[in-house]
Amino acid sequence: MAWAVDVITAANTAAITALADHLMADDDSGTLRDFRLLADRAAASTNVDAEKIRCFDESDAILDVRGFCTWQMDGDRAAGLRVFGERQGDWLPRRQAFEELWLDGESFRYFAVNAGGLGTQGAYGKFCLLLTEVTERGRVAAIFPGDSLQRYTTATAVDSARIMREAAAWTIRGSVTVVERGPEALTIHEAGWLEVICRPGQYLEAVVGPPLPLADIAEVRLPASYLTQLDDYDQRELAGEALQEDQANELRAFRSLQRWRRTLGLLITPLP
Amino acid sequence: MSTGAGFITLVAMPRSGETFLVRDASGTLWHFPPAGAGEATAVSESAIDEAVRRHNWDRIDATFDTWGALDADRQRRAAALAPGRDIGIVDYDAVDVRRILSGACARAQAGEPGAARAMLHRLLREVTLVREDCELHDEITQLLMDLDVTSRRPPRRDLAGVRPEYQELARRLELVPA
Repeated sequence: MAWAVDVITAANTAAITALADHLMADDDSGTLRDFRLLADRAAASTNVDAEKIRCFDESDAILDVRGFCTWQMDGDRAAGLRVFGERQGDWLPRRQAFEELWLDGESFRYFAVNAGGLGTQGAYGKFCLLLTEVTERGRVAAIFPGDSLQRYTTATAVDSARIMREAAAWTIRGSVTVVERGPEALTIHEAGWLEVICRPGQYLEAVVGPPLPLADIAEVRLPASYLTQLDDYDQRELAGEALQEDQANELRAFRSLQRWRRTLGLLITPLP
Repeated sequence: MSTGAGFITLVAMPRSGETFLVRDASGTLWHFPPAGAGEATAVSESAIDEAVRRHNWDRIDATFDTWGALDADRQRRAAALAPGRDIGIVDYDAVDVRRILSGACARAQAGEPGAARAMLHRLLREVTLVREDCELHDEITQLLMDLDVTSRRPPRRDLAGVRPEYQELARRLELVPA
């Protein structure tokens, strides 16, 4: 029988919180207390490219991965699932095994716990979308200490006992972060804590269920130099200059972001 | 484009095409970020799995003899997203308009009055806010008239190219940058 996210995560709340409290009690410097305060304010982020910005804009929602593939195939669900399966390759059984543990697991959107900065996957998408009100609209959400597929699955098995033990509620992300990253935070100046929580290859994963309308994305962060570049494409197009095809796709994404800012109140934040 | 042993291979990219993975003739895998977002970096083979499995890039693996041919193919693929791509500026708000005005002024000062004029005309023609906001409309119209005046002036020269006894006069006549 599939698990309900909120039931599993609620069962772990007391133990994880107690463990974090214990670690903080042992830390006379107060460092871990400050570290948890930072993590308590973290958002869920996902890095996307210009094509996904367009998809989400046209769909008026943040789609799950199968939905995105279906959008790419002009709404043909069967074709989208075929493309999805091809891209997953050897990992498809692992993903399916993880998702099948959960009620509505196929609908999960995957995020990283992000306390600031440009997210974990900037190499693959310069637009870092942030969801701050993760559990609004009745959404279920769980966080895991790392990438769920890599942490819990092999080619032939899924470690369901470990998943059941580690799945945590979004509301205690600060405690989870202290438990998982506290020892590292103690060795690093607080200026480096954002990267302790979230950096390429090391992040706490958040899975979020539907619905996820575009209106719930509170902020997009992107490198300041890239925002300048996109602004330049906007100006060049207005000046009558021809853009290359990839630049035109990026301009489309930029104008979508500006429209989200106007109509949905999205913050557009350039970062160094 | 060839599909056999070539020099460089377009390995994977999102359909928007602004970023991509390339394998060079030596076998090194490179990640190219979008223009304006950093330099290309050598990456490990795991980047392919990351890009395709996790970020839904298309696996391409097309090999080319030249970078130019690779880039042309990348642009051809990116063009597939063109239908329905253009969203206009009709609903630009004051923030957008100010951003464009700032850009237009910068271009005018950089010696591109034609580009600046084109931008201002697009605002006047297409942006609803500009058509409805008399002050903003007048401001843009005034900028266009200023541009026309400036464009009729002799081209500006560097102050260093003006004989010392005429430099003050050149400044007053705005023949050199302030």
